[in-house]
Amino acid sequence: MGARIRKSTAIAYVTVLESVRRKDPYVVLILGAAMVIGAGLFSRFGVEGLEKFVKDVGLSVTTIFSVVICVVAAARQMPTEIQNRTLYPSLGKPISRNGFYLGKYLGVGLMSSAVVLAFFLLLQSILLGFRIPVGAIFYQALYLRIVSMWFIAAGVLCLSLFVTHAANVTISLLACLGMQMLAHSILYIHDELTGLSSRLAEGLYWVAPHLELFDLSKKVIHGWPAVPWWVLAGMTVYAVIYTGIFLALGCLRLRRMPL
Amino acid sequence: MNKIADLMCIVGLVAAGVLASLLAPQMQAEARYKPTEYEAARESIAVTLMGQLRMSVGDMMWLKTLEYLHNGIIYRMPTKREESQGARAVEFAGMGAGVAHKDGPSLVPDKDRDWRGVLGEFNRRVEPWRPGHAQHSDPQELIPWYQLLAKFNPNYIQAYVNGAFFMSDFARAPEMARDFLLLGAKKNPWSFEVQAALGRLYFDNFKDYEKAAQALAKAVKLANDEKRYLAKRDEALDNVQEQLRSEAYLFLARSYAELGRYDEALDVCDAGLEEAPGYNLLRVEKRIVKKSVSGQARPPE
Repeated sequence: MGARIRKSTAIAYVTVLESVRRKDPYVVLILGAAMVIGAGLFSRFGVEGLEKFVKDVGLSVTTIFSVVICVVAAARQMPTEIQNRTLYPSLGKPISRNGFYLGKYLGVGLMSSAVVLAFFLLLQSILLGFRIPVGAIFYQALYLRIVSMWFIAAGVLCLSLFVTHAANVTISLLACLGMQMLAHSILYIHDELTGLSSRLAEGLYWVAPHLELFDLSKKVIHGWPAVPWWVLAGMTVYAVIYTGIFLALGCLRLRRMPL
Repeated sequence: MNKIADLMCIVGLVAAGVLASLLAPQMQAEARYKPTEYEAARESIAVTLMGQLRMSVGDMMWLKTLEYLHNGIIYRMPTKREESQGARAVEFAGMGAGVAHKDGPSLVPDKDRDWRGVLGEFNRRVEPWRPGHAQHSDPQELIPWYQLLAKFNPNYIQAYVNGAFFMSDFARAPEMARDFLLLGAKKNPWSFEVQAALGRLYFDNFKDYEKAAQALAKAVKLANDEKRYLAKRDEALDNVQEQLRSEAYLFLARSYAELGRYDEALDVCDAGLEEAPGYNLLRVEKRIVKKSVSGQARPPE
């Protein structure tokens, strides 16, 4: 068991290292610059008390780009390994397909979490620079964002074994950034639906992975108080369930995949 | 999708800053283009798409201002079923005509009408939500969005009018409001709304009745031109525009009265009453001006 974990950890380490070599984390610096520009615009407006705007710009940039980095990184792992035939020497170490897959997942999750953490640290320093206080809700938003990264990584990695790279990136980005729109649309039309269509809408709502529930940005922006801790625990369980399903599906697919 | 809109706002802002300086002078120099070139631009799919994109992003930014006004909570109109059960949207006009709107129930439903069980409970905790009617935030927080909106779409008249109103009345920054409106007037020389707002600003905040009269006279002329133009197409000014036009008459009359030009003030009252017979404040103003002409003191406001 210990040996298996060590092998998966080694794969994860290589995955993170590869991302660093590909200069993915440098995106953090570019985004940091974008955030500074946003904050600089704020100071140009010259009206006091516009903290919400700075937080809005910062959190929007953080959310969008951390999701993009996670999706792009997760989507390329398996197809690249298979196309470049680098999967075969790795499997010959020997490491099981499951171990390899989980190692990849671990690497993407760690890298994405580190990126989110860097974003939040940068955002916090900018907010402190403007003397804008951040409450407990800010750190709760950070926690849920990190949890969502592991959730997204599992989903995208799983999908990468079923569809092409381009399709995976497109579907995943739409799902991650548009899930709130889907949820709101169902909520909006549900009252007008009856019978089977109502049941279908409810079923779709229950099955869809609700990534929007991991986004506390609006509460941070508009200065709402912290959410109860049981909500964070509940959302963690929710993410673990979906992640487990995605990982199981991914492992199953990889095991049966002719290489 | 909201996040995509946010990203587009940010990217658009940066691009607008660069492009505005390049495009604006060419847009204003109409004489440099022949009618055939204008026609070609009108037929261009690329230009049409870019224009549509600008309008769509502008509308998204406008929705953002409503989100800020409601502390992040999204409200919707009641459904037909809810209306049949007696639910009604509540009219809100507490911050000027520009942000008048109706607030229905929140998009995230209350616990007693939620079919989502535990997911609904999480949703109510994660997304901004509170039971009962909408509460409104400090409108100063909307100002940067109006500024961004005006940068992205310089022809979004309501952004100038609302933004300037909040700058002067809530942020106590009338100079900033004046500069914003002057920019709006430069970009939209046909807009009576911007001229009317500028006139009101000069009147209320700067007590500069000469400049107020100039702006309001221009507003009245432009408003009547627009009304005539719309009438030819079987269209009409909307309620907010009609209100602004009537107020332009009223404050033009008041500006003339403050300058001691009582005859002109009376003429404006008559012209205004002819255009908007139901606007009683003009009748009141006419009586006040007449009293001033006959040597009586103007009553305090």
